[in-house]
Amino acid sequence: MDTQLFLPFAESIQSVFSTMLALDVTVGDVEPVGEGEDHDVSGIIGLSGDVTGNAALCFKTDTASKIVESFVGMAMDPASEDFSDAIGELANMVAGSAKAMYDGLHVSLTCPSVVVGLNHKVRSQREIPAVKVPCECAHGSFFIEVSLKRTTGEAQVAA
Amino acid sequence: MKIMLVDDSRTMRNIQKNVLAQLGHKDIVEAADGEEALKVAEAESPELILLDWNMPKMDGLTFLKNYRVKDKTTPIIMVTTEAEKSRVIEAIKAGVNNYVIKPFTPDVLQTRIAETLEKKAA
Repeated sequence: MDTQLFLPFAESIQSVFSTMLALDVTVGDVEPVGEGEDHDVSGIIGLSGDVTGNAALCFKTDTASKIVESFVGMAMDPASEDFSDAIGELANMVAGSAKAMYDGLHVSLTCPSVVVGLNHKVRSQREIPAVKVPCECAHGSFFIEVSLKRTTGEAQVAA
Repeated sequence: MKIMLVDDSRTMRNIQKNVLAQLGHKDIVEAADGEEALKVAEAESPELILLDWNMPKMDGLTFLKNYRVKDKTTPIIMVTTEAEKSRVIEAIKAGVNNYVIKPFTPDVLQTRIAETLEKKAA
C-alpha cells in the first residue's frame, strides 16, 4: 500500500486523542494485517473518490470503554447506542483528519459503522492491501486497520 | 438565545451542549440530519446554528443551501471534519458564517461562537 495513504492516520489518531481526550498516543511500526487481530469494538469509515477502501479503529472492550469514558465524561454500557455513537464519532474524526492530509485528492467519507461483538475481525476487499497501525495510550492498546488504494492521481501528503 | 445543534452524533451534540452551557446558553434544540434540521428550524426559529457536514439523509451543505433560500441572516457555524481548503470555501460560498474543524478544543468552539455572535450584533 502507498505509505502516503496510511501514514496520515498515524498522525490523525494522535491529534484527535490529544485534542478530544487529552490522551497521548504512541504509534508503533505499521504491519500487514495478515490474518487480522481479534477485536471487540470497531468503528469503521469508508472512503471513496480518488482513494477507496476503509479505515477502522479496533479495540478490546476494556480499552474502548475507558476511551469512551474519557471522551464523553461518563461510563457507558458497551451495548448501548450512545457507546457506539461515541466510537463512531472518534473514527469519523480520525478519518476526517487523515483525509485532510491527502493534498490534491478528492475523497469522501461514509458515515461511520460500529461493530460491537467479541473477537471479530475486520475484513477488507481482497484486492486492496491492508495494514494495521498499532497504537498505545494510557487506557490500553488498540489498532487502526487501514485498507486503501488510490484510484487516480498522485497523493501528496501535506506538510 | 435559541441555538440549534445539527449533528448525527449524539455524543458530539452533547459535547457542544456542554461548551454552550459554559457560555450560558441553555436554550438548545437538536437535529440529527439535514432533513430534520429543516423541520426543527421552521418550528423553532433558532438564532444560531452549529452544523455538521457529513450526515445521513441530508448532509450539512445541502441543508445550508436549502435553509439560505429563506433565511440569509441567521448565523451558521459549520463544525465538521471536512478540513480541506476547497471544502471550507464551498461552505462559505453557500452561506456559512464561521467554520470549526473537528477535533476541536472547547476554547476554539467558544471563540468561534463568540466572534460569530459579535459580528451578528455589530
